[in-house]
Amino acid sequence: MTWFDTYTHRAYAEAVMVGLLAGVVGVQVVLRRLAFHAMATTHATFPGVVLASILGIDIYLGGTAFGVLFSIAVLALTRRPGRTASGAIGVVLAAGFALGAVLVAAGPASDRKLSAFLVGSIVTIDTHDLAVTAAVGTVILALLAVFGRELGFAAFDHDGMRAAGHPALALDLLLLLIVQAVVVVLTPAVGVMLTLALLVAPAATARLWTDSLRRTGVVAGLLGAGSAVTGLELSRHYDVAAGATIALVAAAGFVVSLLVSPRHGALGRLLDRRPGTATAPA
Amino acid sequence: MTEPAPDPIRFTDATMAYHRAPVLEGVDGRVRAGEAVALIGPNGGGKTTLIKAVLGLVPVIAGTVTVAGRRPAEARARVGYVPQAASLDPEFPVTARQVVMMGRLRLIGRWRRPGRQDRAAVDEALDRVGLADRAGARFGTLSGGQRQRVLLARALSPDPPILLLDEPFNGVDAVSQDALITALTRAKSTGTAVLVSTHDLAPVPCLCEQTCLVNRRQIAFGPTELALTPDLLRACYGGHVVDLDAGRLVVTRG
Repeated sequence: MTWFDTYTHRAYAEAVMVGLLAGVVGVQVVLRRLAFHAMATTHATFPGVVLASILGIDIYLGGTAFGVLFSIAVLALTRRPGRTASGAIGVVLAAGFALGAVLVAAGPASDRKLSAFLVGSIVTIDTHDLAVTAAVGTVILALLAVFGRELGFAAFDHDGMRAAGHPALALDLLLLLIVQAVVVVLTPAVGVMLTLALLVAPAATARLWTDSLRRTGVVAGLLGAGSAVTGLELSRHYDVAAGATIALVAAAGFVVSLLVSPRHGALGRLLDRRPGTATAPA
Repeated sequence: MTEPAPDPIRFTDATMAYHRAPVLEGVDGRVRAGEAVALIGPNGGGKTTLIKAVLGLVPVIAGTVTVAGRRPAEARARVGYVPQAASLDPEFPVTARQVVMMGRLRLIGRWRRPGRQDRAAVDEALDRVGLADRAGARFGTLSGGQRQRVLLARALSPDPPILLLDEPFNGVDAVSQDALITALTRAKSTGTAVLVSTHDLAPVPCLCEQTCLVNRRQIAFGPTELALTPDLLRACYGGHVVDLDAGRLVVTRG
């Protein structure tokens, strides 16, 4: 017997890890305005996951294969994430979802399995999933530790980063692949449709509460883990879907912060309506 | 005998293009060490294209552009680039000091944390633009002119021999304009070559030895007193009236 033999323990361990990982990586997604790209990534991943399931191979491999192809295609189209290819990205988004739906209908997968792909099934996480999340998460955090300053430079001033001689194309590809990896790792727990909530909401919330890039990453990671654990707890208490509850908790955190956060909150805005000015810390 | 050092920037009948369509043609001239060249012309006339060509971000399809004797894309480490402050997100969570530190990233590398030398270089660069006391302020809380000065400090922090500035005087108050000119003059005095695009002609005579007028092609490239004339400006701005206002040149919409 180990601690991980209990499915609730596995679910909580997975929730902490995916929340932390999505929160930290989400800061890059939010600052680079890649939310739409991340959404398309989830939809491009979907058919890969379904196909892998039908073929009986590891769904992480199937999702990764489709997602990597998608990331490279987007980069080839734009040479710059978040810019000008939104039409093409939109087409891929819809086509990816459609392909996944067709594969589900054609394959032996049940409605129950479709729902697991779409909104996740954190209570059926096994130790293989936990190991994958831990390993991929460690690699991604290490990559961010090494390349984070350059990625921050790119998010702030992409032209300036290129002009300074940093390898822009390689860094852009690295970021897209990191986002892709997070989407694939999150899929078993929260599903392809809901990974976006954990990727974007904690980071966007953290942005409202802090003005430092480093703190934004820390706060987003904590908020992500907190949202995932809280959502899981609520879903068990009220016996509702875990993935959806986690996404709702993350979204609720953002909405509440929009209203009450000190510097960016709607209440603060009412008190200080000068455009373009922010209240400086004393 | 040693070979004379190559010009910091040299244009030889250069044509720059986006997607093979020429945007700016026939640029011919040089930016010398310790000198500044003003880049003047209407919007869409090719000023930004010229700067991006020097950075190796826009292809040169005819003639050549060399930076310190090399192809532009191979010389980026020698060039400090100052973008327009207005093009950057004022909500970005970053302090003035952190923005300037971005200029040191190439020197710091990926495996080292910023050291004492880097912090000293950042402090000195902020001091050179007169913002040493605002180092801890969030970038977005600074005025437009102060943000522009922070970006100049970022370009100065690795101490490059060449500076490129894209419209640094746009929407900048008098205090910040003076601070920018002071910092650029000092950089020139230590041998830095400066290429600066501007709509505001006022700072040009005191700052720039040469002026380059462009409007989809080069109109003039030479000593400022010869290039900054009403006739050439009129040719450059396509017939819009140029007033000589108490020694100041003003381009108006006619």
